[in-house]
Amino acid sequence: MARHVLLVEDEANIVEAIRFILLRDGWSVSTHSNGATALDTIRSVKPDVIVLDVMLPNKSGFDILQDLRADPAIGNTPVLMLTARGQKKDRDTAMAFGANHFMTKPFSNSDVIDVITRLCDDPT
Amino acid sequence: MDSGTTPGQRVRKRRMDLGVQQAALARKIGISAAFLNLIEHDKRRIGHDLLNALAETLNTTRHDLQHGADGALVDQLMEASVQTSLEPNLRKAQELAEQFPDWARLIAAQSDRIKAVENSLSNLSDRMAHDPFFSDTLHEIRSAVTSIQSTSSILVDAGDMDPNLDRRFRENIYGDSLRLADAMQGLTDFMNPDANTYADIRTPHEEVFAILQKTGFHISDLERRDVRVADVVDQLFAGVSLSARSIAMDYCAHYHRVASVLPLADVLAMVRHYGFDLAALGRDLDVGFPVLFQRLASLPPIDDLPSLGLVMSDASGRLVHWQPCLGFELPRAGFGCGLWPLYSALQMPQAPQRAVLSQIRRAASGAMEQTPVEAFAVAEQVGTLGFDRRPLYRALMLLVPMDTQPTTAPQAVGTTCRVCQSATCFARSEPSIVKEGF
Repeated sequence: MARHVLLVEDEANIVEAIRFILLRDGWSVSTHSNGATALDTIRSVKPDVIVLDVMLPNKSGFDILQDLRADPAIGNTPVLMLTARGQKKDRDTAMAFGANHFMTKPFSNSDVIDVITRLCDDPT
Repeated sequence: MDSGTTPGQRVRKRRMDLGVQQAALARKIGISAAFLNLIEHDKRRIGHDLLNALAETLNTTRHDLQHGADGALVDQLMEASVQTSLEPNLRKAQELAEQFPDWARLIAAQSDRIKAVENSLSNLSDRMAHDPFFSDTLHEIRSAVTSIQSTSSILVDAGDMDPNLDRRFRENIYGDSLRLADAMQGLTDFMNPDANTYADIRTPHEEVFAILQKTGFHISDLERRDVRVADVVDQLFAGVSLSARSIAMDYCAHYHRVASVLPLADVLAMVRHYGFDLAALGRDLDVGFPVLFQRLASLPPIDDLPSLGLVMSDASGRLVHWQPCLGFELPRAGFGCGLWPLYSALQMPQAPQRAVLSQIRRAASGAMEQTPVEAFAVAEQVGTLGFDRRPLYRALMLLVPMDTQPTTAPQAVGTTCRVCQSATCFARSEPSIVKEGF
């Protein structure tokens, strides 16, 4: 059974590109673009890995990450955070809130696939 | 130019340096020799137009006649020395200004330029750190670049791709490239709206002040009741930032309201009758002091009336309006001297304050010089009152140059702590760059 990735990202063209390369590599992919309802989708989809953007409409990726880690049912899901802001304080915040990996836009497709694969195999 | 101690003495010294007879100068500027003699001996005030004529005829500037070139130059040299590792030394600065005035002016000009660039960089840095537009635009650019990079990478790596998907990805790249171009244009406009130099990047209040200064703080178009304030602002403040336009709009709307309530002719008639007896003026014109202060400070230059100064601060004490007058130097933005009645008024909003002030300055000659001014201050409430919040005040201080010597000793005050020469001031909030105090 294909491993499942949930993309929480509101940039439609980025979603389309990442979704394409993941599907091409044999992953199962769901997408979600609204920060306010992202946790509900995570709970229902139960993905193997979450790719989570920081700047989302209605609720930030940092807030979603905090709520995710506080929920025992889904709290251990590996999270790759994406951000268009490359400041050190954003990276520090993401790691402090429990992100497994942090990537700054722009990134290469192969790096995204490598990190998602690694997080799925060994989140630590 | 030797500074002398008063404008009249400076006129006399300048005339004598040029070898011009008193009668010849008087004839050239269209006044009697007797009147010029009174001016040179400080028995008569020098009006706005007359000062301009004297400056032009004596081949100097209005500022140098009013304030003395060397005193200001020495201050600038002291400031310049602080920018380097040089220990500020008043005596050496005076020697430099006296013996090598051209070199001293060059140093002062370069120092001003450095300060302007530093100020601009500070403002720019502040904008980059805190402006939401800048942050959003950078986010937009990064997102568009990410999308283009990911999508084009797919097209490069793909072998036989479904033609529909291929077309779809190409359209996405094109769409993102347009997004990127828009964002870049917005960023370019934001970073450099009309400016060609760093020095043109100023705070919004400084942008407004620079234009008001050119008008002499009198805007004749706003004296007309039927004028549309927005049209005046569009014309007078064309090219300023949005924030500066907002400040200018508030200023001009208030100016227009005040001018409508207090027509220029009425105010001038009252001033000619009472002089600057503010209590009588307020009573007969039937307005409060804040409105009166602002109206008097917006009078046009008239020969027999001194130009008044006006300082306004917000509730934090930060200066939001700084209109200088003869004999009283003001800092540009920031905070003034803690001894000004402006700040006493802010502490006691219901109590108008009056004081005779003098800013003691050391001229290049080493002599102390001072020009007393009468300062009137009051604080007024801003916004609407509410039961669940404390009232907020702003303070206004009107500065009236004195044409007679005060009967009591004026209170010595400074400009701002950084350039104040007072060695023992209890109100000091930061060290002075001037070591030798009075």
